[in-house]
Amino acid sequence: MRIWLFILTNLLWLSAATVCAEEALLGTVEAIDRDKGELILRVTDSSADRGHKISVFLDPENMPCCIGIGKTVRVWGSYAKGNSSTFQAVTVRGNSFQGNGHDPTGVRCRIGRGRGHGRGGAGHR
Amino acid sequence: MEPVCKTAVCILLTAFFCFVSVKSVSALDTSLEFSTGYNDNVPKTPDAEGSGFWLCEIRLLQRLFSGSADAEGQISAEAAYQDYFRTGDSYHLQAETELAWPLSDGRIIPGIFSDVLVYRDDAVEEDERSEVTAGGFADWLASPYLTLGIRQSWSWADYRNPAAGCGCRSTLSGQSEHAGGKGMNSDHSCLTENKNRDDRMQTVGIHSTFYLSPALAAEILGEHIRNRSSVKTESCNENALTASVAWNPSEFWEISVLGSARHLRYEKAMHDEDRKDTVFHAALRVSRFIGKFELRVQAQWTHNDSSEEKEDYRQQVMQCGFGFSF
Repeated sequence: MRIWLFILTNLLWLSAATVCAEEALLGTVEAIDRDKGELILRVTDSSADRGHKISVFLDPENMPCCIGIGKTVRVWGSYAKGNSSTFQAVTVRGNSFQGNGHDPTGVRCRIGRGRGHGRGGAGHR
Repeated sequence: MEPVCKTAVCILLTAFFCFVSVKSVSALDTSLEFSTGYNDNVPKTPDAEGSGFWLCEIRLLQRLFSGSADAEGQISAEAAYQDYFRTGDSYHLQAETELAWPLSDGRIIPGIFSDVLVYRDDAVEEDERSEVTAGGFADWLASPYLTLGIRQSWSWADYRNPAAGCGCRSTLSGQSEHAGGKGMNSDHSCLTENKNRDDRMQTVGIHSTFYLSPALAAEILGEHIRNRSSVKTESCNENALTASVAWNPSEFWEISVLGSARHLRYEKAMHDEDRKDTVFHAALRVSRFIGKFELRVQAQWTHNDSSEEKEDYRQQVMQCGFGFSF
């Protein structure tokens, strides 16, 4: 038990250390160009930019396949200097529903909650 | 090869070839996993008896309405076969559907889901069941960093074989969730009740998901579960708290950590009229991605602290394996 607490606590500290200063936005995709790696995003979160349309640029290889026009996404990155309508993204994520079912982090699906269907080792939820 | 093993292998192979053929005509996310490991307390009893095992799982996911802004959905299916070297094998088949209709610029997401499960176990026949679940959920994307949600579900589990009403359990006999003594004693010496088991379970849950950085997401989930069973010793109320963290330190690594505590209060027990169980669970999984392959190591630790001595147990499961997504 103690060794588990030690490992989990250290992992928590390590992961907390990765929390970065990148800005996050919530918005609806208005247009998408996968070849150029560009999204036109209408900001929908409660920030001062709510309702504004901005251009979001992302490495085309990192463009998620599950996003499309009208979908809500979370975008991480930073605004271009002196330009509040251009956002350079590091990561674009679909909302919690996409990808993992109703398991936003995917962890419950991957390692379960100690309630396998039977004797342990397999099973989820 | 035992009959259940043959059936499971046939189903898995058939499913695999069906999936591969379907894959060629549609955008289906498929993953295949093989792993092997050791469980130090297979029957979940105070006198732990361990066994090695191997496990094979296939998962499929088909997204729906990907071109629509008004609806979202997915259909998923999973088949898993697990063979314990000392006891026998088990398998489960599961299919799930989720549909959602985003509102308010996609920030409020109400939806419905349904789930069908078939579980078969060669060694613990009392656990074999068919289960249907239906429910609804609503998520609120409160900010770029936070999602709050609520979920309600109803499950009906029809067990294939009569349950032993006493809390006795033989070595290497097994136990499943909410079991608390359902495993049938091999010599039937304490079998006091033998009736068909039919469970109805209601679950209400709330969750908070924190998106702390592009690489780090954490979830806290609280649940209240009410299980009403035709076998009185299986009826219980449960409160559970689960916390999980998913961390991707780089594109090649993924670390998943989960901890949960569950408190179960049974309506009736054979030897203690006020049986209470507290189950602590922790799990850690480290994955290394190499292209479409995933190498993984996983450790799980479970401790049940029960007011009935024979329900106390500790279990550790270590496993490693690889997966392939295509």
